[in-house]
Amino acid sequence: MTQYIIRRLIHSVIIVWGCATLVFFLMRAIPGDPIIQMLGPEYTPEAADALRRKLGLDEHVLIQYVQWMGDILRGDLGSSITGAESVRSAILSGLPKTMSIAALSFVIATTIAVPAGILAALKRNSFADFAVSLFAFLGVSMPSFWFGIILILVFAVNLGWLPSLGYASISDDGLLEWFKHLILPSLAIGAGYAAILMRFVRAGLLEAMGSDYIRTARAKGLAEKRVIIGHGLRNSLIPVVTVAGIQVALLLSGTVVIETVFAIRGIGRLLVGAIFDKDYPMVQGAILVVAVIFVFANLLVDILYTLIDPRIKYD
Amino acid sequence: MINMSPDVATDVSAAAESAPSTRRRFWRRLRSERKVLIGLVIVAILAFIAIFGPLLAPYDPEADDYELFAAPSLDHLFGTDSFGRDILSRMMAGTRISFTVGISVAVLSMVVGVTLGLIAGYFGGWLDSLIMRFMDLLWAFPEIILAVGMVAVFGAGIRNIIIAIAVAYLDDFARVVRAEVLRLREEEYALAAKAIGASHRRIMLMHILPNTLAPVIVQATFAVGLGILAESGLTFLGLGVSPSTPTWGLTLNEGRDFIRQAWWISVFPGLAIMVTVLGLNLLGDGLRDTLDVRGVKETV
Amino acid sequence: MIVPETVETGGGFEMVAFENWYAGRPLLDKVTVQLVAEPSTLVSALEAGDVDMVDIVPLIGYEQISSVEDITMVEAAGTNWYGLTMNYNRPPWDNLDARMAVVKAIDFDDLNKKAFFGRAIRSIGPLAPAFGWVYVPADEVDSPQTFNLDEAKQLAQKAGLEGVQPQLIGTPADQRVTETIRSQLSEIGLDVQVDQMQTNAYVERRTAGDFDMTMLGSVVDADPDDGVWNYFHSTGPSNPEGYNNPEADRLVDAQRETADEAERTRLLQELQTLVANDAVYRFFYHLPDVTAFYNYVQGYVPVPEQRYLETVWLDQ
Repeated sequence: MTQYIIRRLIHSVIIVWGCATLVFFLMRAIPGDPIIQMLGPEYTPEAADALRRKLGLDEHVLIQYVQWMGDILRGDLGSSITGAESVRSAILSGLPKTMSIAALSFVIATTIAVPAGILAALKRNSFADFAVSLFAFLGVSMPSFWFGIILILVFAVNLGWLPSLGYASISDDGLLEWFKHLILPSLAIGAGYAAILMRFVRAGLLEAMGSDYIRTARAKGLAEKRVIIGHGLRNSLIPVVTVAGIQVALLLSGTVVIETVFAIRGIGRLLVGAIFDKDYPMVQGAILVVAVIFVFANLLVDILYTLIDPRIKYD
Repeated sequence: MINMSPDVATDVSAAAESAPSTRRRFWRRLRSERKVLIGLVIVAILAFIAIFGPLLAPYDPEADDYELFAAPSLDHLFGTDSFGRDILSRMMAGTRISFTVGISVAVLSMVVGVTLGLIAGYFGGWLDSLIMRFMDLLWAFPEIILAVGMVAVFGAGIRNIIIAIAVAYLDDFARVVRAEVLRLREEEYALAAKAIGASHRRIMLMHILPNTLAPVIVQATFAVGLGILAESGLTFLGLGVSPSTPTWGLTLNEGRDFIRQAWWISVFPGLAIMVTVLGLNLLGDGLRDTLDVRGVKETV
Repeated sequence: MIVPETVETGGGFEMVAFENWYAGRPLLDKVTVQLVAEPSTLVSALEAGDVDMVDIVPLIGYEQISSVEDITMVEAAGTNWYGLTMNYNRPPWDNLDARMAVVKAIDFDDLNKKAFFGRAIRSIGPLAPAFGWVYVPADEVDSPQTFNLDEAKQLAQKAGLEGVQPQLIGTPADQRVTETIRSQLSEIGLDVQVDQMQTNAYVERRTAGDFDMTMLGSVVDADPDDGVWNYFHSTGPSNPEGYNNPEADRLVDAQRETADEAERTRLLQELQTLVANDAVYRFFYHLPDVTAFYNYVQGYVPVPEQRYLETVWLDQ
């Protein structure tokens, strides 16, 4: 196990380095010179050269790469290309927002999906199973931005129950405000996840119910309810953990869009905006942090597996 | 879209034992699978519209001289959009484009992914490590960010969007195929073929590839729906196809500003996307059960 | 004077009152500016009362916002102009007939309805309505820049435009305009290829002159000179289409050199006629500057395309 973890750790570092390198060169391949836009009507070739020199963009791209790698190893992510904000502070302010949305959407998804999945599995091929499946398909195939806009219209504009945009931090505004600002964006993302998770739970439970040890448990005369709760559910937990790991993977894809709809400057919004503005240091720093979280969250999930399901062993 | 960590995916499929089923049993199960039937019917209807849509459309999808924001009526079954164009006609024209995007994404990521997975699984060793670490890289890179970056590099336009989405999803294929190949490589017929001196290429193409088809087909079915959904997400971020190409995603996006005064602009293309994803998922789910494929990732 | 305090790139910023401003401390203690990329969210946020004021009311939100009783909408004449330019360095757009065919093929009323929801003011040149001393309303002159499909078709035939595929570059923000123009120009046989990209890539392409057509214009001008010298002088920085007319240069320079308003008016109006006749641009519109806020926001003094909040207070 220890050996496995060490091997995975080495892999993780390589993947993170690969991501960082990929994004460094990808950004420089994108057409659109940030210098031209920064200068706007003041643009002249001389001014552009001067600004390029000032930002260190006149160096050979490989030298820039080596310098950047050196900076990272010293823990320095630099500052945004306009110099208005350090990459570190942008990430530190964005991360809690994205993480909060992800966490709450996971809670919402689990709350909906686990009971629904169990119901669908127990009443297999019944009307309830059909209804739950239909809901799942709706959830999966509904574009989240569209659902988000509708949620705003219903709960913020018409009913006036919840705020329509922005984020409130727990430390400044308290738990209630934080929660109120997060419900709608989390619901917009959580609906899709609930659908995916529900199908995992259903499939996992069905498989477990048909497996040998459940049959053994039944044969031993255990009550049906105890069989389901004691053995079946334990196994249907595995998909929940899987999706938790996947959650991290989906996190950015989902939040990029939803943060735009709800005007929340989380990591997703930060990244897309920075890509559009060709803010090299910001994109590079943010991707680096995202890749780290990504890779290590998955490592954690894989280790969690072995704790939940003793059948899985890594060598 | 679900990403399983590579090791888990391998474990799950290694644990699965698929019983070889005879052709007759296959058809009996296929018929008994209601899911496959419903899915097939939905996909067939959509394919029909995709092929003949332009002939069936009541109006020219480009004509913009009708009333703006006209509610659904007998003249315009799905109403008109914010430019005064008939939404039904645009959606019929868009069916072909959205399907082209979905199918192209699936085919492209399938061809590249299967090839990589086949090579990685068959040869193993450093080649396997190299390919799979590259796949891990694609997987760790947030899909939509990858697509945003690629579209930003190569520009918008339908071809580049297809490439961008396909690259983001090709690691799924590579992983599924590699796991299958690892299992098959040690099967008797592959060993026998090697023993009688068949070339690597022959063993890979003639003996191993056909046996990996089932999970690949299932995965591809899901990928079509994913491609269509991903296109609408990219359009939302301003990176979609050219505005003159009436994909469902574009119509849906153009309608999002008018949800209150003209719900029909976004609701109908949204429903079209849902029904398509539903049909493809039913088909994929059903095929998975029928072909007894394990270890293929859950849908979307 | 209100000074910025914190900045979140792409998110917004906060400004706090500057205590030692010579004209006295502003009435508000703090202003929080939040950037909202999605127009429908912006409209919803104002309607739901989650923000006190929106800087620029999105065109799609006029009707909804004006129907809310507690909200004041303030409309000021714009200092902007906007149009479609064609690249002189790429045939056939060096030909006046070709450009004039495009100019006359564009139907402002249709464009206004589809792209601006009827909110734009027709433009015949770069002199904006906010500069009352020099502005000439479109219906007071007989401009060549008037929709006339028959003449457009004749000119197009003369210039051989049938089947030509001009490349129109733009950003997602231009989408409603490009869509409408593409449809309108198909009437004279042009098959417009819309190439839509993010602002950064767009600016680079435009600066490099890599386009047949693009939308361009001037906003937040303090004086008509901003929207004239940069765009119509042969050495102006916003002249990517390569317009070079010595007479235009002379007029632009001359209006800079005189302080006499009557003389400047004459020179600028002569220039406006010249660039309209040269079809450097198809001049589209001037957009009024519209802001909206709740009635409890008091003391707002409108200055076109600027937001001065020194005198504002909240009556809550």
